[in-house]
Amino acid sequence: MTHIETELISAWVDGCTESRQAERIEAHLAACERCAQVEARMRAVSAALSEAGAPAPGEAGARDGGRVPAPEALSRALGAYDESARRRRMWPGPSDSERRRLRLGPVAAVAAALLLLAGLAYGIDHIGVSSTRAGSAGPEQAGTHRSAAIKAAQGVASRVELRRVLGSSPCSGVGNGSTARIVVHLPGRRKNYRCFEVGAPIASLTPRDSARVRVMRGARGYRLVVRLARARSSRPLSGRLVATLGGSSVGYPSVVEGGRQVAITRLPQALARELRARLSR
Amino acid sequence: LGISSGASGRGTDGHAREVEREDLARRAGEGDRVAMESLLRADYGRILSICRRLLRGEQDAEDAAQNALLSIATNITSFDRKSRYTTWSYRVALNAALDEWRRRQRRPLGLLSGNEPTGTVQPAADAEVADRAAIEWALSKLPVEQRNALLLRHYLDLGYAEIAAVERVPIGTVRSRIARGRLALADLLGTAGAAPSSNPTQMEGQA
Repeated sequence: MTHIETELISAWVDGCTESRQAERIEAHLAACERCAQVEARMRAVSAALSEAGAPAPGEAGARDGGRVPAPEALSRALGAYDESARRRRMWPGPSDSERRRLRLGPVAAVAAALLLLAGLAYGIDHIGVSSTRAGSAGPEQAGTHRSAAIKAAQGVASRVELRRVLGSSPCSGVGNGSTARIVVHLPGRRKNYRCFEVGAPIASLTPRDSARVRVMRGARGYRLVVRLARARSSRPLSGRLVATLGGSSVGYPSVVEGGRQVAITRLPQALARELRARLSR
Repeated sequence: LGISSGASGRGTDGHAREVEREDLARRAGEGDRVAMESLLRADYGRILSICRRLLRGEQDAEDAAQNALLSIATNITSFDRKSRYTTWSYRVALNAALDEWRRRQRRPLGLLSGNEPTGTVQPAADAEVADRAAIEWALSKLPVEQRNALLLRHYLDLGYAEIAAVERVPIGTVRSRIARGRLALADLLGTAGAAPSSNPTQMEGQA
Protein backbone atom coordinates (compact mmCIF):
# COMPACT_ATOMS: atom_id res chain seq x y z
CA MET A 1 0.00 0.00 0.00
CA THR A 2 1.31 3.48 -0.89
CA HIS A 3 1.24 5.74 2.15
CA ILE A 4 -0.07 9.26 2.07
CA GLU A 5 2.52 12.02 2.22
CA THR A 6 2.84 13.68 5.59
CA GLU A 7 2.21 17.04 3.98
CA LEU A 8 -1.04 15.89 2.53
CA ILE A 9 -2.21 14.50 5.84
CA SER A 10 -1.31 17.77 7.50
CA ALA A 11 -3.23 19.74 4.88
CA TRP A 12 -6.13 17.35 5.15
CA VAL A 13 -6.34 18.00 8.89
CA ASP A 14 -6.80 21.66 7.99
CA GLY A 15 -9.40 20.84 5.38
CA CYS A 16 -7.06 22.27 2.77
CA THR A 17 -7.01 19.53 0.18
CA GLU A 18 -8.99 19.15 -3.01
CA SER A 19 -12.13 17.12 -2.56
CA ARG A 20 -10.89 14.33 -4.81
CA GLN A 21 -7.71 14.03 -2.76
CA ALA A 22 -9.66 14.26 0.45
CA GLU A 23 -11.69 11.21 -0.46
CA ARG A 24 -8.59 9.22 -1.25
CA ILE A 25 -6.88 10.30 1.97
CA GLU A 26 -9.91 9.49 4.04
CA ALA A 27 -10.18 6.03 2.56
CA HIS A 28 -6.51 5.40 3.12
CA LEU A 29 -6.52 6.58 6.71
CA ALA A 30 -9.36 4.23 7.50
CA ALA A 31 -7.28 1.33 6.30
CA CYS A 32 -3.71 2.27 7.26
CA GLU A 33 -2.68 2.41 10.88
CA ARG A 34 0.65 4.03 10.22
CA CYS A 35 -0.92 6.99 8.39
CA ALA A 36 -3.69 7.19 10.96
CA GLN A 37 -1.02 7.67 13.60
CA VAL A 38 0.47 10.51 11.65
CA GLU A 39 -2.96 12.02 11.38
CA ALA A 40 -3.49 11.76 15.14
CA ARG A 41 -0.17 13.41 15.72
CA MET A 42 -1.02 16.25 13.36
CA ARG A 43 -4.37 16.75 14.97
CA ALA A 44 -2.89 16.85 18.46
CA VAL A 45 -0.32 19.51 17.57
CA SER A 46 -2.82 21.40 15.50
CA ALA A 47 -5.33 21.49 18.36
CA ALA A 48 -2.70 22.60 20.86
CA LEU A 49 -1.59 25.39 18.53
CA SER A 50 -5.09 26.58 17.83
CA GLU A 51 -5.88 26.58 21.52
CA ALA A 52 -2.78 28.60 22.29
CA GLY A 53 -3.61 31.01 19.51
CA ALA A 54 -7.27 31.44 20.34
CA PRO A 55 -8.20 34.88 21.58
CA ALA A 56 -8.32 35.05 25.36
CA PRO A 57 -11.82 34.97 26.82
CA GLY A 58 -13.36 38.40 26.83
CA GLU A 59 -10.91 39.58 24.22
CA ALA A 60 -13.12 40.94 21.53
CA GLY A 61 -11.28 41.43 18.28
CA ALA A 62 -14.06 43.65 17.02
CA ARG A 63 -13.34 46.03 19.85
CA ASP A 64 -10.12 47.02 18.14
CA GLY A 65 -11.91 48.00 14.97
CA GLY A 66 -12.42 51.61 15.89
CA ARG A 67 -9.16 52.05 17.75
CA VAL A 68 -6.96 54.86 16.59
CA PRO A 69 -3.23 55.16 17.13
CA ALA A 70 -1.91 57.31 19.94
CA PRO A 71 -0.97 60.76 18.65
CA GLU A 72 2.73 60.18 19.39
CA ALA A 73 2.69 56.91 17.49
CA LEU A 74 0.96 58.53 14.56
CA SER A 75 3.33 61.44 14.37
CA ARG A 76 6.30 59.12 14.74
CA ALA A 77 5.03 57.06 11.81
CA LEU A 78 4.37 60.14 9.70
CA GLY A 79 7.83 61.41 10.54
CA ALA A 80 9.22 58.15 9.22
CA TYR A 81 7.07 58.51 6.12
CA ASP A 82 8.44 61.98 5.48
CA GLU A 83 11.94 60.76 6.05
CA SER A 84 11.58 57.92 3.60
CA ALA A 85 9.94 60.20 1.05
CA ARG A 86 12.82 62.60 1.47
CA ARG A 87 15.36 59.87 0.87
CA ARG A 88 13.60 58.91 -2.31
CA ARG A 89 13.75 62.36 -3.74
CA MET A 90 16.22 63.04 -6.50
CA TRP A 91 17.92 65.57 -4.37
CA PRO A 92 20.01 63.72 -1.84
CA GLY A 93 19.50 64.82 1.72
CA PRO A 94 22.19 65.51 4.28
CA SER A 95 24.43 62.62 5.18
CA ASP A 96 23.88 60.79 8.43
CA SER A 97 26.57 62.68 10.27
CA GLU A 98 25.23 65.95 9.00
CA ARG A 99 21.76 64.97 9.98
CA ARG A 100 22.97 64.11 13.44
CA ARG A 101 24.63 67.44 13.74
CA LEU A 102 21.44 69.10 12.62
CA ARG A 103 19.39 67.29 15.16
CA LEU A 104 21.78 68.19 17.91
CA GLY A 105 22.04 71.79 16.95
CA PRO A 106 20.09 73.26 14.10
CA VAL A 107 21.14 76.56 15.52
CA ALA A 108 24.69 75.84 14.50
CA ALA A 109 23.76 75.72 10.88
CA VAL A 110 24.04 78.99 9.07
CA ALA A 111 20.69 80.09 7.87
CA ALA A 112 21.03 81.41 4.40
CA ALA A 113 18.16 80.39 2.23
CA LEU A 114 14.50 79.88 2.41
CA LEU A 115 12.81 77.58 0.06
CA LEU A 116 9.17 77.65 -0.46
CA LEU A 117 8.43 74.38 -2.04
CA ALA A 118 5.12 73.35 -3.29
CA GLY A 119 3.96 70.87 -5.81
CA LEU A 120 1.59 72.16 -8.36
CA ALA A 121 -1.16 70.77 -10.43
CA TYR A 122 0.21 72.62 -13.39
CA GLY A 123 3.64 73.69 -14.49
CA ILE A 124 5.05 70.83 -12.56
CA ASP A 125 7.53 69.65 -15.12
CA HIS A 126 9.34 72.86 -15.53
CA ILE A 127 9.33 73.62 -11.87
CA GLY A 128 10.31 70.15 -10.77
CA VAL A 129 13.30 70.04 -13.04
CA SER A 130 14.57 73.50 -12.38
CA SER A 131 14.27 73.19 -8.67
CA THR A 132 16.20 69.98 -8.74
CA ARG A 133 19.03 71.87 -10.25
CA ALA A 134 18.64 74.56 -7.70
CA GLY A 135 18.82 72.00 -4.98
CA SER A 136 22.27 70.96 -5.95
CA ALA A 137 23.47 74.49 -6.43
CA GLY A 138 25.64 76.09 -3.82
CA PRO A 139 24.32 78.72 -1.48
CA GLU A 140 26.25 81.41 -3.33
CA GLN A 141 23.79 81.06 -6.18
CA ALA A 142 20.91 81.54 -3.90
CA GLY A 143 18.55 84.25 -4.88
CA THR A 144 19.40 84.20 -8.51
CA HIS A 145 17.48 81.21 -9.61
CA ARG A 146 15.00 81.85 -12.34
CA SER A 147 12.21 79.80 -10.86
CA ALA A 148 12.16 81.75 -7.64
CA ALA A 149 8.54 82.55 -8.23
CA ILE A 150 7.55 82.57 -4.63
CA LYS A 151 9.47 85.17 -2.77
CA ALA A 152 10.04 85.52 0.86
CA ALA A 153 9.05 89.06 1.54
CA GLN A 154 11.05 89.27 4.67
CA GLY A 155 14.20 87.77 6.01
CA VAL A 156 17.26 86.26 4.50
CA ALA A 157 15.37 83.86 2.35
CA SER A 158 17.30 84.05 -0.80
CA ARG A 159 15.90 81.25 -2.86
CA VAL A 160 12.33 80.28 -2.96
CA GLU A 161 10.82 77.76 -5.24
CA LEU A 162 7.92 75.63 -6.08
CA ARG A 163 8.57 72.02 -6.31
CA ARG A 164 6.70 68.86 -6.01
CA VAL A 165 8.36 67.20 -3.09
CA LEU A 166 6.85 63.85 -2.44
CA GLY A 167 6.81 60.84 -4.67
CA SER A 168 9.49 59.02 -6.50
CA SER A 169 9.63 61.11 -9.63
CA PRO A 170 9.35 64.86 -9.70
CA CYS A 171 7.12 65.10 -12.72
CA SER A 172 4.15 62.86 -12.32
CA GLY A 173 1.29 61.89 -10.15
CA VAL A 174 0.57 65.15 -8.44
CA GLY A 175 -3.01 65.37 -7.43
CA ASN A 176 -5.20 67.55 -5.35
CA GLY A 177 -4.94 66.69 -1.74
CA SER A 178 -1.32 65.70 -1.98
CA THR A 179 1.02 67.44 0.32
CA ALA A 180 3.74 69.78 -0.69
CA ARG A 181 6.10 71.59 1.56
CA ILE A 182 7.33 74.98 2.37
CA VAL A 183 10.89 74.49 3.31
CA VAL A 184 13.13 76.75 5.26
CA HIS A 185 16.52 75.97 4.00
CA LEU A 186 19.52 76.20 6.27
CA PRO A 187 22.69 75.39 4.38
CA GLY A 188 25.76 74.27 6.23
CA ARG A 189 29.29 74.87 5.22
CA ARG A 190 29.31 72.62 2.21
CA LYS A 191 25.85 71.34 1.67
CA ASN A 192 22.36 72.57 1.71
CA TYR A 193 20.06 71.32 4.37
CA ARG A 194 16.42 71.12 4.09
CA CYS A 195 15.73 71.18 7.69
CA PHE A 196 12.48 72.82 8.36
CA GLU A 197 9.34 72.14 6.50
CA VAL A 198 5.77 73.19 6.48
CA GLY A 199 3.40 71.08 4.48
CA ALA A 200 0.69 72.71 2.46
CA PRO A 201 -1.85 71.22 0.11
CA ILE A 202 -0.53 71.02 -3.36
CA ALA A 203 -3.42 72.52 -5.20
CA SER A 204 -3.43 75.57 -3.01
CA LEU A 205 -0.32 77.23 -4.26
CA THR A 206 0.58 78.72 -7.59
CA PRO A 207 3.97 79.77 -8.91
CA ARG A 208 3.03 83.40 -8.70
CA ASP A 209 2.21 83.34 -5.03
CA SER A 210 4.66 84.88 -2.67
CA ALA A 211 5.21 84.34 0.97
CA ARG A 212 6.30 86.17 4.06
CA VAL A 213 7.87 84.19 6.81
CA ARG A 214 8.02 85.34 10.39
CA VAL A 215 8.78 83.84 13.74
CA MET A 216 6.47 85.19 16.39
CA ARG A 217 6.37 84.83 20.08
CA GLY A 218 3.02 84.39 21.72
CA ALA A 219 1.52 83.27 24.98
CA ARG A 220 2.03 79.65 24.03
CA GLY A 221 5.59 79.97 22.89
CA TYR A 222 7.15 80.54 19.51
CA ARG A 223 5.53 79.93 16.23
CA LEU A 224 6.52 80.17 12.66
CA VAL A 225 4.06 81.97 10.47
CA VAL A 226 4.06 81.75 6.74
CA ARG A 227 1.73 84.20 5.12
CA LEU A 228 0.99 83.77 1.49
CA ALA A 229 0.30 86.70 -0.74
CA ARG A 230 -1.79 85.07 -3.36
CA ALA A 231 -1.17 86.10 -6.90
CA ARG A 232 -4.72 85.25 -7.68
CA SER A 233 -7.57 84.34 -5.50
CA SER A 234 -7.54 80.63 -5.89
CA ARG A 235 -8.86 78.04 -3.51
CA PRO A 236 -8.24 78.75 0.12
CA LEU A 237 -5.55 76.75 1.82
CA SER A 238 -6.81 73.73 3.53
CA GLY A 239 -5.50 70.47 4.79
CA ARG A 240 -3.08 69.22 7.33
CA LEU A 241 0.25 70.89 7.71
CA VAL A 242 3.37 69.30 8.91
CA ALA A 243 6.68 70.38 10.24
CA THR A 244 9.80 68.33 10.40
CA LEU A 245 13.34 69.05 11.40
CA GLY A 246 16.10 66.76 10.24
CA GLY A 247 13.62 63.96 9.92
CA SER A 248 12.10 64.21 13.35
CA SER A 249 8.92 66.05 14.00
CA VAL A 250 9.19 69.45 15.44
CA GLY A 251 6.57 71.87 16.57
CA TYR A 252 2.96 71.09 16.04
CA PRO A 253 0.75 70.68 13.01
CA SER A 254 -0.41 74.09 12.36
CA VAL A 255 -3.46 76.12 11.71
CA VAL A 256 -4.68 77.62 8.54
CA GLU A 257 -5.79 81.15 8.99
CA GLY A 258 -7.98 82.84 6.49
CA GLY A 259 -6.77 80.51 3.78
CA ARG A 260 -3.54 82.40 3.44
CA GLN A 261 -1.62 82.01 6.56
CA VAL A 262 -0.13 78.91 8.04
CA ALA A 263 1.61 78.59 11.32
CA ILE A 264 3.59 76.05 13.19
CA THR A 265 3.17 76.45 16.87
CA ARG A 266 5.33 75.53 19.80
CA LEU A 267 8.62 75.67 17.99
CA PRO A 268 11.62 74.57 19.99
CA GLN A 269 12.99 77.73 21.51
CA ALA A 270 16.50 77.42 20.16
CA LEU A 271 15.28 76.91 16.64
CA ALA A 272 12.80 79.74 16.96
CA ARG A 273 15.48 82.13 18.15
CA GLU A 274 17.83 81.14 15.42
CA LEU A 275 15.23 81.55 12.74
CA ARG A 276 14.16 84.81 14.22
CA ALA A 277 17.65 86.18 14.27
CA ARG A 278 18.15 85.22 10.65
CA LEU A 279 14.83 86.52 9.49
CA SER A 280 15.17 89.89 11.15
CA ARG A 281 18.42 90.75 9.44
CA LEU B 1 -5.07 37.13 -4.08
CA GLY B 2 -5.60 38.99 -0.90
CA ILE B 3 -6.77 38.58 2.58
CA SER B 4 -10.27 39.72 3.14
CA SER B 5 -11.60 40.96 6.38
CA GLY B 6 -11.61 37.39 7.70
CA ALA B 7 -9.03 36.74 10.33
CA SER B 8 -8.73 40.04 12.04
CA GLY B 9 -11.56 42.18 10.80
CA ARG B 10 -14.08 39.74 12.24
CA GLY B 11 -16.43 40.63 9.46
CA THR B 12 -16.89 44.16 10.71
CA ASP B 13 -15.38 45.88 7.75
CA GLY B 14 -17.14 45.57 4.50
CA HIS B 15 -16.10 45.67 0.94
CA ALA B 16 -16.25 49.44 0.77
CA ARG B 17 -13.74 49.85 3.57
CA GLU B 18 -11.52 47.31 1.93
CA VAL B 19 -11.55 49.24 -1.33
CA GLU B 20 -10.95 52.48 0.47
CA ARG B 21 -7.97 51.03 2.28
CA GLU B 22 -6.38 49.81 -0.93
CA ASP B 23 -6.96 53.19 -2.49
CA LEU B 24 -5.42 55.03 0.45
CA ALA B 25 -2.44 52.67 0.31
CA ARG B 26 -1.95 53.37 -3.38
CA ARG B 27 -2.06 57.09 -2.85
CA ALA B 28 0.21 56.92 0.17
CA GLY B 29 2.65 54.89 -1.90
CA GLU B 30 2.66 57.67 -4.47
CA GLY B 31 3.60 60.20 -1.85
CA ASP B 32 0.24 61.46 -0.67
CA ARG B 33 0.80 62.29 2.94
CA VAL B 34 -2.82 62.97 3.71
CA ALA B 35 -3.71 59.52 2.42
CA MET B 36 -0.91 58.04 4.50
CA GLU B 37 -2.29 59.58 7.64
CA SER B 38 -5.85 58.48 6.89
CA LEU B 39 -4.63 54.97 6.23
CA LEU B 40 -2.69 54.78 9.48
CA ARG B 41 -5.70 56.01 11.40
CA ALA B 42 -8.15 53.74 9.64
CA ASP B 43 -6.02 50.64 9.77
CA TYR B 44 -4.65 50.79 13.28
CA GLY B 45 -7.49 48.74 14.73
CA ARG B 46 -6.92 45.91 12.28
CA ILE B 47 -3.16 45.91 12.87
CA LEU B 48 -3.69 46.00 16.62
CA SER B 49 -5.99 43.02 16.57
CA ILE B 50 -3.46 41.05 14.54
CA CYS B 51 -0.80 41.88 17.11
CA ARG B 52 -3.14 41.07 19.94
CA ARG B 53 -3.66 37.59 18.57
CA LEU B 54 0.08 37.04 18.59
CA LEU B 55 0.96 38.72 21.85
CA ARG B 56 -0.99 38.35 25.03
CA GLY B 57 0.11 41.45 26.88
CA GLU B 58 -1.96 44.51 26.09
CA GLN B 59 1.08 46.73 26.21
CA ASP B 60 3.13 44.37 24.07
CA ALA B 61 0.38 44.26 21.45
CA GLU B 62 0.13 48.03 21.35
CA ASP B 63 3.88 48.45 21.12
CA ALA B 64 3.98 45.98 18.26
CA ALA B 65 1.06 47.66 16.49
CA GLN B 66 2.79 51.03 16.77
CA ASN B 67 5.99 49.59 15.39
CA ALA B 68 3.98 48.06 12.57
CA LEU B 69 2.60 51.52 11.75
CA LEU B 70 6.12 52.86 11.71
CA SER B 71 7.19 50.11 9.39
CA ILE B 72 4.21 50.64 7.08
CA ALA B 73 4.90 54.36 6.90
CA THR B 74 8.58 53.77 6.23
CA ASN B 75 8.10 51.17 3.53
CA ILE B 76 4.87 52.03 1.76
CA THR B 77 6.63 53.98 -0.96
CA SER B 78 8.78 50.99 -1.80
CA PHE B 79 5.95 48.48 -1.51
CA ASP B 80 5.82 46.90 -4.96
CA ARG B 81 2.05 46.37 -4.99
CA LYS B 82 2.41 42.81 -6.24
CA SER B 83 0.00 41.88 -3.51
CA ARG B 84 -2.77 43.83 -1.94
CA TYR B 85 -2.03 46.22 0.86
CA THR B 86 -3.97 44.15 3.36
CA THR B 87 -1.84 41.13 2.53
CA TRP B 88 1.39 43.04 2.70
CA SER B 89 0.49 44.72 5.97
CA TYR B 90 -0.28 41.33 7.47
CA ARG B 91 3.30 40.43 7.06
CA VAL B 92 4.44 43.74 8.44
CA ALA B 93 2.26 43.24 11.51
CA LEU B 94 3.47 39.69 11.92
CA ASN B 95 7.09 40.82 11.83
CA ALA B 96 6.46 43.62 14.28
CA ALA B 97 4.76 41.20 16.65
CA LEU B 98 7.58 38.70 16.34
CA ASP B 99 10.14 41.39 17.10
CA GLU B 100 8.18 42.31 20.18
CA TRP B 101 7.97 38.67 21.08
CA ARG B 102 11.73 38.30 20.89
CA ARG B 103 12.26 41.39 22.98
CA ARG B 104 9.86 40.05 25.57
CA GLN B 105 11.64 36.71 25.69
CA ARG B 106 14.90 38.44 26.36
CA ARG B 107 13.42 40.30 29.27
CA PRO B 108 14.55 38.93 32.61
CA LEU B 109 11.98 36.74 34.30
CA GLY B 110 11.83 38.91 37.37
CA LEU B 111 10.45 41.77 35.34
CA LEU B 112 7.86 39.57 33.73
CA SER B 113 6.54 38.11 36.93
CA GLY B 114 6.18 41.57 38.39
CA ASN B 115 3.87 42.56 35.56
CA GLU B 116 2.04 39.31 35.15
CA PRO B 117 -1.58 39.88 36.06
CA THR B 118 -2.45 36.18 35.92
CA GLY B 119 -0.26 35.31 38.88
CA THR B 120 -3.05 34.76 41.35
CA VAL B 121 -5.89 33.60 39.14
CA GLN B 122 -7.40 30.12 39.22
CA PRO B 123 -5.24 27.12 38.42
CA ALA B 124 -7.11 26.57 35.16
CA ALA B 125 -5.94 29.89 33.83
CA ASP B 126 -2.43 29.14 35.03
CA ALA B 127 -2.46 25.87 33.17
CA GLU B 128 -3.52 27.65 30.00
CA VAL B 129 -0.78 30.19 30.40
CA ALA B 130 1.70 27.38 30.94
CA ASP B 131 0.46 25.55 27.83
CA ARG B 132 0.79 28.62 25.74
CA ALA B 133 4.22 29.31 27.14
CA ALA B 134 5.33 25.78 26.28
CA ILE B 135 3.96 26.04 22.76
CA GLU B 136 5.62 29.37 22.22
CA TRP B 137 8.89 28.12 23.57
CA ALA B 138 8.69 25.27 21.07
CA LEU B 139 7.70 27.65 18.27
CA SER B 140 10.72 29.78 19.02
CA LYS B 141 12.92 26.74 18.31
CA LEU B 142 11.54 26.25 14.81
CA PRO B 143 13.06 27.63 11.62
CA VAL B 144 11.50 31.00 10.99
CA GLU B 145 9.54 29.96 7.88
CA GLN B 146 7.88 27.09 9.68
CA ARG B 147 7.11 29.21 12.69
CA ASN B 148 5.61 31.98 10.59
CA ALA B 149 3.45 29.52 8.70
CA LEU B 150 2.16 27.99 11.90
CA LEU B 151 1.47 31.35 13.51
CA LEU B 152 -0.39 32.57 10.45
CA ARG B 153 -2.37 29.35 10.36
CA HIS B 154 -3.22 28.91 14.02
CA TYR B 155 -2.92 32.30 15.64
CA LEU B 156 -4.31 34.34 12.79
CA ASP B 157 -6.58 31.70 11.26
CA LEU B 158 -5.38 32.22 7.72
CA GLY B 159 -5.98 29.61 5.03
CA TYR B 160 -3.16 28.09 3.00
CA ALA B 161 -3.76 30.35 0.02
CA GLU B 162 -3.68 33.42 2.24
CA ILE B 163 -0.49 32.31 3.93
CA ALA B 164 1.02 31.74 0.51
CA ALA B 165 0.12 35.31 -0.44
CA VAL B 166 1.53 36.77 2.76
CA GLU B 167 4.75 34.80 2.58
CA ARG B 168 4.96 35.08 -1.20
CA VAL B 169 5.61 31.40 -1.74
CA PRO B 170 3.65 28.69 -3.59
CA ILE B 171 0.91 26.87 -1.71
CA GLY B 172 2.91 23.64 -1.84
CA THR B 173 5.65 25.33 0.14
CA VAL B 174 3.16 26.49 2.73
CA ARG B 175 1.85 22.97 3.06
CA SER B 176 5.32 21.61 3.53
CA ARG B 177 6.30 24.23 6.08
CA ILE B 178 3.20 23.62 8.13
CA ALA B 179 3.61 19.85 8.08
CA ARG B 180 7.29 20.00 9.00
CA GLY B 181 6.65 22.60 11.65
CA ARG B 182 3.98 20.46 13.22
CA LEU B 183 6.15 17.39 13.33
CA ALA B 184 9.03 19.32 14.84
CA LEU B 185 6.70 20.85 17.38
CA ALA B 186 5.31 17.44 18.30
CA ASP B 187 8.84 16.25 18.95
CA LEU B 188 9.71 19.28 21.03
CA LEU B 189 6.58 19.04 23.11
CA GLY B 190 6.29 15.29 23.29
CA THR B 191 2.67 15.63 22.23
CA ALA B 192 2.89 12.53 20.18
CA GLY B 193 -0.80 11.80 20.22
CA ALA B 194 -1.50 8.22 19.37
CA ALA B 195 2.01 7.58 18.18
CA PRO B 196 4.31 8.02 21.13
CA SER B 197 7.52 6.65 19.72
CA SER B 198 6.99 5.95 16.05
CA ASN B 199 9.63 7.82 14.19
CA PRO B 200 8.23 10.83 12.37
CA THR B 201 11.36 11.55 10.40
CA GLN B 202 10.71 8.46 8.33
CA MET B 203 7.47 10.00 7.15
CA GLU B 204 9.07 13.31 6.52
CA GLY B 205 11.37 11.69 4.06
CA GLN B 206 8.48 11.17 1.70
CA ALA B 207 7.68 14.84 1.40
